[in-house]
Amino acid sequence: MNRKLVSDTWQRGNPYELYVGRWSRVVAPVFLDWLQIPGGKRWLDLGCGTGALCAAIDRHCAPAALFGVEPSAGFLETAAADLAGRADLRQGSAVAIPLDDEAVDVVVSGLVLNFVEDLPAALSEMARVTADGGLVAAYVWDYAGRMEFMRHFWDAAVDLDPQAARLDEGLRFPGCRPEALVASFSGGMFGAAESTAIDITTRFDGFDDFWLPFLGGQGPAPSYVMSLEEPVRLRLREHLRARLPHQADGSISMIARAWAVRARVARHSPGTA
Amino acid sequence: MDSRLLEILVCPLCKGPLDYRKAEQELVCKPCRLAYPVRDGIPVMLEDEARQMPATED
Repeated sequence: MNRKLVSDTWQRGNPYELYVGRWSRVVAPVFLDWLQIPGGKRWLDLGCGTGALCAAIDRHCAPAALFGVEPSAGFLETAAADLAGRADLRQGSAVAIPLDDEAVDVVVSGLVLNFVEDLPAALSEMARVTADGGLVAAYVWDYAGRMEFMRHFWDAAVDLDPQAARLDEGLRFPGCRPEALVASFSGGMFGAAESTAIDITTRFDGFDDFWLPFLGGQGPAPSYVMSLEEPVRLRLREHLRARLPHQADGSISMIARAWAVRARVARHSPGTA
Repeated sequence: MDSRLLEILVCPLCKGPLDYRKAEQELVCKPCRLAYPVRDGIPVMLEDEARQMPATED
């Protein structure tokens, strides 16, 4: 087995869209509803990927300005084509955001924070570019809990190959829990943080609709699948098929939960009101 | 590039202002001696992708 192929690589738009982007698009408007931001605000989507959250902000929030920052050129290419000028896109890093201090009123980040190597540095940058009293908010999948299609995947994979546990996002990303998110968003330039669960239904027409996106190679689980020799991959496929909750019509419905967190930026500069 | 957009776009390293050089399609940070490329209309604001400007270049 070639372990070198396994990575957290997110580079190309279409395989990502099939695997998890299509579900991310469903979470985005629910997350924005929770934020309750009036129109006319300046927004930054940090780690905008293929632009799902940017598109939802444009559609639902009447932004005065909308920026997307993303490190992957491949994702940005997809975002630029899909958004067609509705967001100002920059290739950049979460820990060195190329925007001026207090350039925006709201910073959001969808399904990204667990992949950021230096989260405190990223949060500090998110607060820096946000105006005083503005909002910083994010959501991540509940990998260890009710992100059920990934949970089933890793539980099946570890059943057959205990070594796979070291790739399981549920174990690797302990920050994707509400108490950890609130703790990350507490202190520093942030006011009180709060979290909520966002549950969506992921419905697959049949087993192939569930399985084929894992063959796209984008993201940890698909990357693991494509690192396996064919007979091992087929064994995993059948092990998964047996454990998924099939409906009478062959479809498979599961819950995908995201945990969302939000906090206002509250600067306490001595000598200023 | 819109001048209003340029105003809030800063060097990711020093957070200082940038000069837009349209002909070269670059955003230049003079203190850092870095020229960030603009590719297909998207500014690439990554240190690794920036061109190191020689001391002789203005």
